[in-house]
Amino acid sequence: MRCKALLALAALSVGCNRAVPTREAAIEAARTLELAADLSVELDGALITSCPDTLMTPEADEAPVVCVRLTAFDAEIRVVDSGCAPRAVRVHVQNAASDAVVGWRAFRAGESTARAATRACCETLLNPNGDERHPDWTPLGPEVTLDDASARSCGETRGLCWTSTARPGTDQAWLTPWTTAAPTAASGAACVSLSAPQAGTLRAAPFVLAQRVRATLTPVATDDGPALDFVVIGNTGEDHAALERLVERVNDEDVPFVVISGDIAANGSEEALDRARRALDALEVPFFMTLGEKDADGAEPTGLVERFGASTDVLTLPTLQAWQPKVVLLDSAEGGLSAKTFAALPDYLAPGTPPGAAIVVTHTPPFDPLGLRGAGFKRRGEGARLLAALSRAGVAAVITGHLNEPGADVQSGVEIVHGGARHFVRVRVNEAGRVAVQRLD
Amino acid sequence: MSARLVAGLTALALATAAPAVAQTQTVPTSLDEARAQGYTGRPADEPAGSMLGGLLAIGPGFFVHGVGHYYTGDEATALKLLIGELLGAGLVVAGALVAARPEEAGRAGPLPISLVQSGVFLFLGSWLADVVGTFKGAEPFDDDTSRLGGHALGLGYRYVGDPRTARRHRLVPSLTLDSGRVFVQPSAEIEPNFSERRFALDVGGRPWRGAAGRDHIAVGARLRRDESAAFGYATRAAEGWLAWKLDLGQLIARMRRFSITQRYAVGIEQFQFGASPSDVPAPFADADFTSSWFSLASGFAFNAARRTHLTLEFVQDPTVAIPAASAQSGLLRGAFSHQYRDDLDIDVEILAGDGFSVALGLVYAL
Repeated sequence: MRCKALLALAALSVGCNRAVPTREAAIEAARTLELAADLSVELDGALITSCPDTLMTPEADEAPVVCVRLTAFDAEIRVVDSGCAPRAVRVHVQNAASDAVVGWRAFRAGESTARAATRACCETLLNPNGDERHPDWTPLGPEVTLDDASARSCGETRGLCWTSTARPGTDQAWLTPWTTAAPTAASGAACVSLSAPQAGTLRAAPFVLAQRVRATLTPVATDDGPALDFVVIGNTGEDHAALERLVERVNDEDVPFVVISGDIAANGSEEALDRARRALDALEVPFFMTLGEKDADGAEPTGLVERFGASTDVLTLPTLQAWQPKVVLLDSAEGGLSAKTFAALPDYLAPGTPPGAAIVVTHTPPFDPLGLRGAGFKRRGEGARLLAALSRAGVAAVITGHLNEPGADVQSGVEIVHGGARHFVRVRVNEAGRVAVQRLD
Repeated sequence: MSARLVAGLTALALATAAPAVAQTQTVPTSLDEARAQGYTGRPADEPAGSMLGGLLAIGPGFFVHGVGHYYTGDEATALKLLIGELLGAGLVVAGALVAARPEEAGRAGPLPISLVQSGVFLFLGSWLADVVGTFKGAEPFDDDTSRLGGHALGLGYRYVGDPRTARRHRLVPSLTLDSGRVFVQPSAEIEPNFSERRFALDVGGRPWRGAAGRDHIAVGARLRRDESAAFGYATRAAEGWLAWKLDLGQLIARMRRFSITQRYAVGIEQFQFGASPSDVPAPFADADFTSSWFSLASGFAFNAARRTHLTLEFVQDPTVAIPAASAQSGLLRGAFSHQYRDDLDIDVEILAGDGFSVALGLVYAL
């Protein structure tokens, strides 16, 4: 942003292509964390975030602490260990649903030739322990669930927490409550690092402790059959009291999660973002957020990813039924989509398995319904490109922020709902893919 | 080699000899001789440039416009510049007040943006006029050589530096038929493999002064057809526009031949979406969606050299090649037109926003 302003002032210098860290790069970077040369954490449906100040760790504990923020209802946190000594990692999870279940399963990140052949032939018959997420890894045992009380013993800090311990030398791993003492090198079996020829290719493959956090959404019964409800709030801008009020309102509603459509901070400053995050921390359900121009300082991260998660994402709503809607968050804080988002759009909007309606939440509408004001995308060609993709994909509804007047219109068969200023929009999507949107004051 | 060299040397010798032949009048060696030959000196009301005055115009003058002119004794112009500053600030405040009523912003339409841009333009313009006028003094800029009237054929190339598209090279042919008062200009912008193309027809007139005046008012309409075989959409648009160019010298003596420009446009656009990203709907197929827009451009134009015309503009136009720098700002447009020969112009246009675009063109007078 600053670069662009300077470019503008310099009037006619040929573009500003300096390598700035973008939010997209920050999101990608937050999907992995290297704890040591042979120990790392990989995330699906979650991002590395900062740890809460109130999070305490046992004294003299050398186990590294990893704090993550969930960006999906089915997330996986993988500790990948290429060593063989017993090691512990303390994991703290934010933004989890109240009924989220924690499970773990150990793997070797590889498979023997015989197993690969079996899998290719008839996995479900001969290899019932195969894992749908990692079909070409070798499971070392069945998935085990961490009991709820253990997972939620985080002291004064909200969220889920546990200690994950692995003994790659003996192919063992387990999760225990956060307060469990971390193992020392001496507490484990002898660590003998074997080379691939000695150990076989499989034993030389990294040891992976996959920790999964899952929640299932329960549809509500309606006249039109079962449906899922959620709330979209946003556009509070400088009116911080309005954001706090909306959070209180949401807590009175029986919804499983909230989507923020952006512009909840007065500006992109760290102070304003912290203030907004503190207000959102009062939500009793998980929230997922895309950004508005008031939240962002250009395309640069400025701690946005750490505070609010991924601003462009696909949120699949798991129902345990034959339909599974999804909410697609598109970051349009810059008045348009990035090249990367445009490229990924067909994947984001493709029908899922099982199928279900797609609802898009984005801050800036592709076109301003009151055209002359020009509050849509900065370039109309990009608005057309997005609207064409939404129309072709049969998106059920698009919910936007940005505009201060609430309203709704249909653009090329796509229902576009403008939440308006300080909005509170209740969305209901049912099995047939029908979406009902109600704006509440 | 030798024939070319001889021809070149002969041409050079003739060129250098010509002035010697033409110099029949003796060059005055004193002020008295110059006066005897008709030199009258600078008029009392057209002072020379002032370095200190210019610095005052830059520094405190940013807050109180006209300080530079006041320092050099041109109090009347200083007052005009101060009024320009106050008017500009007033327009910005008025725009901000309209925009500060968010629930009613829709009814205001493009009013806030127009007020703010005009206000900023007036504010910065009066400051710039103070700085430039004070530094430069009464000497006017070179004559405006922008081409008005006459027919021309243009051939250009545009590079679009926008990460959202891999299709960055465009061919830009155009034809201008200009009678002075009325002009017609068909043009196109075509990506070499034809996946992105734009066809436009501009029709307009200059009801006041026609091509006779470098400062003028022009009104016109533009019909446009965009087709994207990369993203599966097409549009057809009609736009009405009003533009004016005013020589500031009519208001501020020291800014003679330094013009301000303004362009307003309102358009309506119909979008057609294909069944797949590679499918471009036919030109007269039903529209899927219709939307309107407003655009605004404000800037300055002057001759930076004897045959080189320069235009600098701040543009808010969602139909140009690249997006604005941010959701709340616009683009900078710089256009440079050099009359290489009486019948040949070299044009360069640079757009800087969220990305950039550079267009190079040759315009042949017919």
